[in-house]
Amino acid sequence: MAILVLGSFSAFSQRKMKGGDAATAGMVRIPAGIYHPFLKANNKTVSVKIHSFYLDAHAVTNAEFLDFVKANPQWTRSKVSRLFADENYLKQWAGDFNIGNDRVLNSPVTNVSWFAAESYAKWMGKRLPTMEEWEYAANSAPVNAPKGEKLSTMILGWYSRPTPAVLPPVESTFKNGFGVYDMHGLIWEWVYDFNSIITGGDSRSAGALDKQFYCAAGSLNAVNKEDYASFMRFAFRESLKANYTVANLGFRCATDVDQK
Amino acid sequence: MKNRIFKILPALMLSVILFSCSKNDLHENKGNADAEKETVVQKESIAQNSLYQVSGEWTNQNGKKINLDQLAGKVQVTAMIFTHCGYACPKMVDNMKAIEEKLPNNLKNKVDFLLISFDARNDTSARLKQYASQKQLDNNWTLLHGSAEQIRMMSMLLQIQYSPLQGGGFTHSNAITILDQHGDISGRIEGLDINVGQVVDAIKEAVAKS
Repeated sequence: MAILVLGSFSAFSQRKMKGGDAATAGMVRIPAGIYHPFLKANNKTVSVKIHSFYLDAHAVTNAEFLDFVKANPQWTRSKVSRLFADENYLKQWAGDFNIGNDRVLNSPVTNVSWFAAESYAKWMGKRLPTMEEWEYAANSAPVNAPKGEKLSTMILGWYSRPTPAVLPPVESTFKNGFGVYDMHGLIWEWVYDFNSIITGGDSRSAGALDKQFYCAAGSLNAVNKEDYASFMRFAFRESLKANYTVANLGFRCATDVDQK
Repeated sequence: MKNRIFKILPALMLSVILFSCSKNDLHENKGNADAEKETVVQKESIAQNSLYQVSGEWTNQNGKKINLDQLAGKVQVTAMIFTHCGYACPKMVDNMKAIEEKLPNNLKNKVDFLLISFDARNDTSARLKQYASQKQLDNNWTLLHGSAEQIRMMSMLLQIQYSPLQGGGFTHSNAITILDQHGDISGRIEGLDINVGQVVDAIKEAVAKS
């Protein structure tokens, strides 16, 4: 009981500290709107209403993540449970509390698992964006995009370039129409419900199982078959497990608007 | 003689009460020393890879609040389902019942069955109780109701994909996860077309680890 009380007290003071206007500092308010998921349901294009929410203007950086690890040593490289992160967790860092390369302090933190990202977000009094929120916020062209160039073409250009050995800093690619930086072209990002993509076996009918083992089967359900960039994101997400860490996979946080 | 019994009796009663608090130890007729040793091992394990280090209160089919670590002490044959599911979940539960029937007698009291619902809204503990009786699930089964957030976390831990459908229901992947008595994942069997004998072998392996 005492532990419980202590636990909720520290959670409370955490929120107090970061509370008020400071809580949404560095975040962008994304207006409400309609999102059309990339994958159809029952062969119909779906419309999903997105409520207004706050999204971090840039991905969480190495320096920001170090603060979290210092405050929560169970998330250091040497202590983290294999249940929550695989053996490559934070492998680009020099040590438990040492990033080791000043050039990447302001670069996105990568090699972090979903569990680590989710725990960071909670610690900040935030949450991970849902896949729908992320896709909705990402479907906005750069503010200074060349005229007539499609966003999907630009994204494919970014995807076709290999990830540099040293990741550039955040806010180094582009700002989109919502005022959010680097949604494409810097790293991939975790979303809260990344494991909600099932292009494989559908649980509701036995017959659907076989054909759906083909990876191309998913394309039959796509809204826009030319949107290869979305294919890549959805296929990538489907390949992940929550304790995986990947060298170019990071995250950013979101919060609800009505909490503020 | 009488005196001695009176001296021992309170101690015996106390130990019965203590053991009753954690149902884990009820089936093990172990001395105090052994029980203590086991607790230590369990704690070390919880600090490493056990699912039971994830805190949070769930509600079982009897309306009782429980934390996951209260499931420790027995192997848990675990799956995620929802009770309004038409095809996959009944099949999953039938598979698990077939596994239960095939368990050798010496394992029966070392293995429990755990169903965690995807459906935070409809699968209340009352509904889970009704489902358990419909499906004739005995006392070795625990059915858990949790919040949407707890359920998402559980799906990540058990590596289950799922998505709520517009208009109710869920689409989800199917897998049985075998948790050893400390809550570590000991085995995982994907799909609905399972070989019951192989699963029983995997359960034996999990019991042997204990």
